[in-house]
Amino acid sequence: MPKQSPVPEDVDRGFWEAANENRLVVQNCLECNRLQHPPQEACAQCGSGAHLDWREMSGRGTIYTYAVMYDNPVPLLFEDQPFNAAVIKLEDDPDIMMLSHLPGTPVDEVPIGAPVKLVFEKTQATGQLVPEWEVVTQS
Amino acid sequence: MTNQFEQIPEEWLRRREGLGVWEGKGKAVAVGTGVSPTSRRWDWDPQSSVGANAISALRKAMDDSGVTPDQVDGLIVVPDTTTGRFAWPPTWPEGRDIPADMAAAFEMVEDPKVGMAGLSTEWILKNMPELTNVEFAAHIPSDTAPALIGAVEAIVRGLTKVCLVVKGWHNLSGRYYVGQGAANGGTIATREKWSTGWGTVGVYQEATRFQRYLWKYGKRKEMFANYVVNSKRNGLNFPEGFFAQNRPEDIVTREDYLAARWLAKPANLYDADIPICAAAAFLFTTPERAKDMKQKPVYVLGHTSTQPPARSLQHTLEEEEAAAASTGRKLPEAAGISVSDYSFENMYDGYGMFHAIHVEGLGYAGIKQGDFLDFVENEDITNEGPHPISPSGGNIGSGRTRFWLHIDTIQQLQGRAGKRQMTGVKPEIGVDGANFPQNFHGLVWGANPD
Repeated sequence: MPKQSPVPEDVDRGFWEAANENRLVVQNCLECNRLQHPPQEACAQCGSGAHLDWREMSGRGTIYTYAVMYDNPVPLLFEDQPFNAAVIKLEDDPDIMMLSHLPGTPVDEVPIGAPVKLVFEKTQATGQLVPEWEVVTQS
Repeated sequence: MTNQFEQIPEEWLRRREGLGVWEGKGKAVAVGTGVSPTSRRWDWDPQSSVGANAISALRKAMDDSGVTPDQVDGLIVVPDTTTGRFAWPPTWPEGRDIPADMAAAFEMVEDPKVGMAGLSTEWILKNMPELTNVEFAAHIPSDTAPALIGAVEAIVRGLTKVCLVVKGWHNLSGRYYVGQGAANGGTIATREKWSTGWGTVGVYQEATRFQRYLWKYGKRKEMFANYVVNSKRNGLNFPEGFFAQNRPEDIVTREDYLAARWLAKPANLYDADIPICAAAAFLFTTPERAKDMKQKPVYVLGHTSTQPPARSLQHTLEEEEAAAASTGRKLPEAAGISVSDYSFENMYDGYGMFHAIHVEGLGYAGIKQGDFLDFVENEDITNEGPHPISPSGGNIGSGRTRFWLHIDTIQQLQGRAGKRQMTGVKPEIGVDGANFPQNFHGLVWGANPD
């Protein structure tokens, strides 16, 4: 599916630079040993921005929930309606969530609780890679 | 005059559990309410602007209370009137001039958008010169519920004796979010990249929590139908509401609900509220002053606020349920009552699924987590039954205002809710509040002070 290209900004540049290297990182407060996503200027727990860095994730997660979008606001996505929009919980820290269109999974066939693996998709406008998630099929 | 504050003082809010009975219990009362005419979108006529609607509502609230303007000494205005998210879509269409006839019809303030896409105490007082004795004025941002809490606290604290509260909504032309702001174009910046960029604004988050709810508790979407049909019916019995005024033929059946087009499946068209233009005003005073007024006083017995931050991208179902459960413990604690004392509930419903989580959190009618859908499918939830569910019809029944619930609570306890007046239970204590369980301000109201 086409996606808008995210424009990296100071607060999340590390995330998007890593994505362009096919790596998934999440902001981490070294002082609190606590991950947070989306990235913020300061740790939501201790309030300090002085101890934030990026921690690489395993690229494994599970489907927490989803909805099927029939009426979304982004014109770039109109042609693909209806499409899945799932919430993924990371295996490294289930408190951390990311969105996914679940490439390869038909609408109405989304298995809540199923394991997913990380892939990266190239966006059209700038070539920025974005993390996506595919259901892990049992072999 | 200068506002006493621009947001409700933090110390006025009761956020924590274990605070005990609210010290202001029974010391502030609501008397009259007023609602402006409603419309779907603003037609750019000054006389249907949010400013005009606010004036209409305020005058009706005073008249309803039997109070003359010179008797009012307090005014709380909710400055925000957008039906969308704050600041986006923009509160004013890019490139659109301020209509000259607005300036001819009303006294303008420094920001010319006020009166059309916002409200202020200054604008109200300039355009309601009959309010000659206002000594306490304040802004309380965002919504009606915190503004009502601000009013009752101001009464209890002796800052005002007769206080008006007004909240308005403006809805400009254009589809909700579609192709606007961050959604438009090939790139996306700001925090919108984590949500809008995936096509997921509006009902999406609550739809995902509802999907999780259905999965977690083994329920079916179809079980929600009776609840929506009941809310729509209650809305058509709300003469101040949008559908009763503008689409009285718009009866929604179970079949209509099940056939409605999807927005974000499992949420369909009837699970969402529609943005409208409207304003409502409320008059609060002390029990002593209320004795001479026209309506029976409705006592505020307690209030609470619950606003836990999301741990990550969005609140999970479990975070939402925990927030609702906390509210469910704090409200009866503040009012010094037990859950079984609630005669009825009027919790927030725009989107409808919020109502399920709110009611389960309250434990109203013995409904526990995961029970709501069974209850609304199998029990009598009408206003004629023993456990009315959303007797106002809420946002689903009458359009997005987040204030129908408060007006209905007051009218039910006064025994003047008309066709909505509940008959299966004697309305003695009602509970209401808005909006999301994780961003909530609520009140307990009584026909009596204790």
